[in-house]
Amino acid sequence: MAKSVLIVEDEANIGIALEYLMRREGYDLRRIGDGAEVLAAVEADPPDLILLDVMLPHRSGYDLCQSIRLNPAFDKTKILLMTAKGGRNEREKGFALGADGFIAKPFATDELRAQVHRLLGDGPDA
Amino acid sequence: MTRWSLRLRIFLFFALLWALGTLAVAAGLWLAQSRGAVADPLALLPAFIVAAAGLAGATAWVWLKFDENVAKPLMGLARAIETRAHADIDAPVPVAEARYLGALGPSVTEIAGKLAEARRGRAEAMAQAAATEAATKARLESVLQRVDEAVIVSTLSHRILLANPRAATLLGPAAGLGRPLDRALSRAPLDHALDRLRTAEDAARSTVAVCTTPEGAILQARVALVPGETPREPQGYVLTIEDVTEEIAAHAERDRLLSALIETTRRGAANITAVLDALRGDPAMPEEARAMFGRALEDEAARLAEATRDHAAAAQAAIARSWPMEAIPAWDILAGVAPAADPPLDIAAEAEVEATCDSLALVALLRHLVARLGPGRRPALSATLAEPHARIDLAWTGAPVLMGELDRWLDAAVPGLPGEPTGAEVLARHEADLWPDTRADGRPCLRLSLLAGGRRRPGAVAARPEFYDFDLVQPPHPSELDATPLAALAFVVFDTETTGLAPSEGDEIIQIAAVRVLNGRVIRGETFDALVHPGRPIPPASTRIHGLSDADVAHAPPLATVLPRFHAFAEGAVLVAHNAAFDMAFLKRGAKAAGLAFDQPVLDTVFLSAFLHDHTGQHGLDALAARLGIAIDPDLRHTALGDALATAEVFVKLLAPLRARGIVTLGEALGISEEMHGIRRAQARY
Repeated sequence: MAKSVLIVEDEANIGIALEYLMRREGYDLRRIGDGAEVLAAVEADPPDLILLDVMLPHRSGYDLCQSIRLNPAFDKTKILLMTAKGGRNEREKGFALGADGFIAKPFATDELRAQVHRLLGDGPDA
Repeated sequence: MTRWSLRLRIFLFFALLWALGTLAVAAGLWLAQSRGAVADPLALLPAFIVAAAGLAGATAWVWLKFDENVAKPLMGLARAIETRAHADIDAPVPVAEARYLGALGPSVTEIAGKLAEARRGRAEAMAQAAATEAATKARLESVLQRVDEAVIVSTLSHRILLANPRAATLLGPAAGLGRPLDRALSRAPLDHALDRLRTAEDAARSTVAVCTTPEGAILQARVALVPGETPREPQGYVLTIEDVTEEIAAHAERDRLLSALIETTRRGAANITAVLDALRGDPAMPEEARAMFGRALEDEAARLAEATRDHAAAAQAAIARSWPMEAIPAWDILAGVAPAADPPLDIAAEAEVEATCDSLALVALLRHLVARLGPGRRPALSATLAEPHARIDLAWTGAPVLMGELDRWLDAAVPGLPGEPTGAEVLARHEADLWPDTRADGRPCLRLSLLAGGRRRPGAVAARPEFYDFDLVQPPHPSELDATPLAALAFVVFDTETTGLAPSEGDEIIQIAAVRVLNGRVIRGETFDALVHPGRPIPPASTRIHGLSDADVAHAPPLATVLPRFHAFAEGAVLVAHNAAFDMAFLKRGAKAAGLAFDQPVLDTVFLSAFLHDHTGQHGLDALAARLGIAIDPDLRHTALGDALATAEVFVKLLAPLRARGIVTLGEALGISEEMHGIRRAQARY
């Protein structure tokens, strides 16, 4: 069964690109652009991986990350945070809130693919 | 003579009285004899003699009494009054003998008493006025010492009269008393500013000059004229100096960053647009061309991404640098927050943890968060180091705080800060971040991570006890040096420590130290102290004397580096040393090798002391200091600086006795050396 990925990104152009990329990898996809809708979507159908942008309308990616992690029902869901700066403070903050990985924008798609494979446990050697 | 003549006059008066009396008796007897009252005139002679003798005895007795009780006491009182008129004498006026002079004795005593009282009163008033003035002066000095701006007062001919400790730090040893200011600062902007001020209508105006130092720092100096006797005739000028090198560099950096950002963005946009246009414009484009354009797009995108990352980091740093930040011990920050809760927060900080921050803003932010946490949570603060960050945890017992709530807290304005920034803005300024986390003991906390230690303000400046002298005289023209009084010259008193006593056999200098003497004062704030690498091992015998071993000089610069600095320090001054021939021999060899020349006049305190005290006996530095009542700190004895300071104190104490012996000018002092040299050489023959 294909792994499911939830893309949370409010900027249309990046959103389209990410969707295309993940679809090419063979994952089942959903995309949400508004922070307010995320928890409901996760509860309805917990994904294997969430690509979570930190700058979102209504609720920040950090906030959502923390809330998702606080719910043990979603322990199997991996969270990859997409941050703007990628400094040490941001990484520490993300890990403290329960993120499993980071990527700083703008990123190279190879890098994104590698991280996603790592988190979902299906690399070239899987 | 006057004393003599009073008593003499009185004696003569009595003598005259006797003579007249005797004459009267003689006249009476002669009259009696001429009238024929007596048969034999010669029979009258014994009567005459008796009368004369009786008169003599009587006048003599009266005269003696008069002399004893009037003349002598009068003269005694006159002497007493005269001496007290010229000097302050405490002894009582001799009134016993004057008891027959009526009220004269007591009156003189009274007047002498009033005179002494008046004198005492005047002395007290003067002492008080001097003490008040000294206290005021000390207070002003202390203020100037502590003022954070660099302050320099200079004559119109650019000689430094006052340089406070901050100025010394900013401008280095070039800012010494009596030194020419244009060695430390560029002249042109200063001259221009002074011209503007002198032609200005308002004499109290000030203006700004931006100067550079030889080391390349940029200084902003506010210039104001110091009025002299009349407002139109300034006697000098005052500079208040700020180092704006960093500020200017920061502005330039920002400008560069902006330009680079614009350039990057424009180029990226232009290139990508061009390539996309090409791709879109030809639906029948061959595969190769399409692939090439594809690669071009990737390339442009990558460059844009990388440039954006770099600029973002630089911009963040530039923003953070523009706020006044200091390295503050974390403990101080926590202690500032502790009273915000009741009971006060528990605080704990790892030793030596410092945070680069605006402490007011940080304390205000933390207090704000504590307030939001509310009562009943028993909050505690702790600080640890996680290089390069400092971490401050605000922990409590209870439910964790969610990110959403924290974001709301940070969106509010932090109370008590100028400009009313939000918590998020305060964090951004500090390049810091704040998030919910969990402590090792399971308690929830808010973790604040900010830059540790680092950016420091220049530290406390060493006090300069003598940092001004408004009586500095214009330095003499080199041709007039010999005729200049010693008191008007600048001296550099120096001492060296060496590996041994034989400069011509390979011994080398290992330490040079010196101190300036100006206007008869040792300027303890202006010293020179440098270790020198001798390029050869130091014999243990020599180490036993001065305490310097090979390890001490291992990292010291060579003489070729140190000597030019000493040469600059000694510029324009007369050199003084104890047993100068020894030190000068070493200096001259080193100077030749370094291409310098020490051609200033040299005075030797050994010769000066020998001239004053005696031609034999002890003239070692310890003996000389003891004789002049100067204490040498035993820890500093036989260090070059300690010896230089002691020699300077000795030299200053010799100036007055030299003057008393007729040695006033430099030429005369130099002459002593010749003389003493000759005498000692002659002595050595014996």
